[in-house]
Amino acid sequence: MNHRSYEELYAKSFRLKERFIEVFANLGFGHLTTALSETEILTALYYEILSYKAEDPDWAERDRFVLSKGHGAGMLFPIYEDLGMLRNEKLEDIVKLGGNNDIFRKFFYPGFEFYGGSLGIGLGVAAGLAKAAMLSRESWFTYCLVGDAETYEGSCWEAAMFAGANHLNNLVVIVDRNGLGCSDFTENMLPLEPYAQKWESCGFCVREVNGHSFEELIPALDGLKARPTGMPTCIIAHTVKGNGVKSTENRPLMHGYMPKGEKDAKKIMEELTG
Amino acid sequence: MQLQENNATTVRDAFFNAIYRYTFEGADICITSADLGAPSLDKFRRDFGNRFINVGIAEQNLVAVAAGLAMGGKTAVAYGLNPFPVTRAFDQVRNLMANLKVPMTLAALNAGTCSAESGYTHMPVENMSIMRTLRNIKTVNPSDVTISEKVAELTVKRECPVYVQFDKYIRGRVYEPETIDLEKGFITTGDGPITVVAYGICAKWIRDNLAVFREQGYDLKLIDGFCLPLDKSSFVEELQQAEAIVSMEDGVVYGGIGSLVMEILSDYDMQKKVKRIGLRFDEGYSSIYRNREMIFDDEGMTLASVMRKMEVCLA
Repeated sequence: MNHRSYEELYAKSFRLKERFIEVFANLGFGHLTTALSETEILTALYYEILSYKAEDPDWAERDRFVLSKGHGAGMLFPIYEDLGMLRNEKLEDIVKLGGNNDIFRKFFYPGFEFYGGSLGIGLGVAAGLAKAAMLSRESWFTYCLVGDAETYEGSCWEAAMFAGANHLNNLVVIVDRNGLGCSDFTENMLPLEPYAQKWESCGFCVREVNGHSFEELIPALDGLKARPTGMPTCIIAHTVKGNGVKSTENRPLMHGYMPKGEKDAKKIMEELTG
Repeated sequence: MQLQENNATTVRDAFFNAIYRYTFEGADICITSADLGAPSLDKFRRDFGNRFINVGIAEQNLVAVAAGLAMGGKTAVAYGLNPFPVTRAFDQVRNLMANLKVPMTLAALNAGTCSAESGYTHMPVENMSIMRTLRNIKTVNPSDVTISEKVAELTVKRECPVYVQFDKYIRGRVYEPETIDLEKGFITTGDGPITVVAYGICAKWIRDNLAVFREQGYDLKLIDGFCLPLDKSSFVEELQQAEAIVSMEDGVVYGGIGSLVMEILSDYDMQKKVKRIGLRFDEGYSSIYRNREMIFDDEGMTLASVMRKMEVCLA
């Protein structure tokens, strides 16, 4: 893999955001604030960290990526489009009402190893994948992106305890720690802090980074395969929900917000570039 | 209802014995367990210890980890105590098994009221109704060990998601292997104007008592619906031949196999006399400490009561 500069990665993530807004504003449905929270994380994964072959998506030795927070799946579509993984399908045709997204419901697309959406399921699946690789002495890693508010689901902690107890050092959990659920800030609901200690107590090696900074994300994610710890890794990526768009940034009740139509999209893009 | 016990192999142990045999022969099988063992699992744990994965009493993770193992190329069996693998982990079952069709087997100990002594919490009496709402999953109730062995065979083939629930009081072999077809989903025994549709312990009970019914003047054909979904055309053919139909199940009648019969009759515009026998809990869940036999007595699932219902059906 040719490594990109951080400037190139920032430029790439910006173009992905642009495309996301263009496509999903036209559709009038999506999760803008989630997409803006996770874009740099996904960009780091798909353009620097994950091992896969875009032209051969079911390559057996690929890293597995489980997007547990299924409401964040929208941002994967521009990534797949950019990587040429939509085959002959047009992105607009896939995501429109009546569009067929069946190609993503296979087990061989990075990001759609598991069809997320029902929160709290993905981490257990990721732990099972990692366990399978460990038993078979395979070198591929499993990466799993969860939302911080998703971890109110008890099943996440069932999986976290399992991963720690089984020393799944081939499992990397990335938490999109934007501090917001749907209706309120996490610390106003049931405080998640001390959050890092929760993961540590389950047997994880924890690192905290700025989830919008490639300068922090890449070093935290890179080299984990060569760094034997005997423990699974948890990267707590501190992010801002709706990052870069002031009217949506860090605001409760914007979870399911998506601009509708060209005019709205233009306004959001102005905020993003402004 | 008298439940006979003997030293023959249980349906649960027959399944795990077969799983052990396949593993010994080279199948890449992993068993996840929600802190549940079995005598037949002891040798698996001894000989393939790293492939026996105890997740603790955590049914949601039980199903999710097994799905991950299956997606990672393993033949995955998830094993837990009913009703919890279905009721506590329903969302995982629904999304991973029914929707994504992850080829794994969810094996649960206890069916219906077989563990009634442990109280309502441990009676998976709604599980069949719940599982009937899902597509893409084969739902199996072995009424003999041959069926259990067929489930193990299907598990190794990794063709589809499977849910199997084992009644701890069902032992021994009745059916020949070549007569058990999991695609067809049922097998018939006996013949007569009354067709009884049942599964699990009720199928076994009817089967064991066919001679008794006959002596009392009731000639029955038993349809042992051991694997849902049943092959529709074969099942419709059987129902068309019936003069009267009685369904019997160790589970709530709401959404169970009796409901299935009524749905088929409706869908195929058939008119038959039907009586549904099963658990109704019309008076709510009893506070009286009861075992299965007492529950069956209270719910009218006795020889005399079943015969009365058949009489009404034939009238």
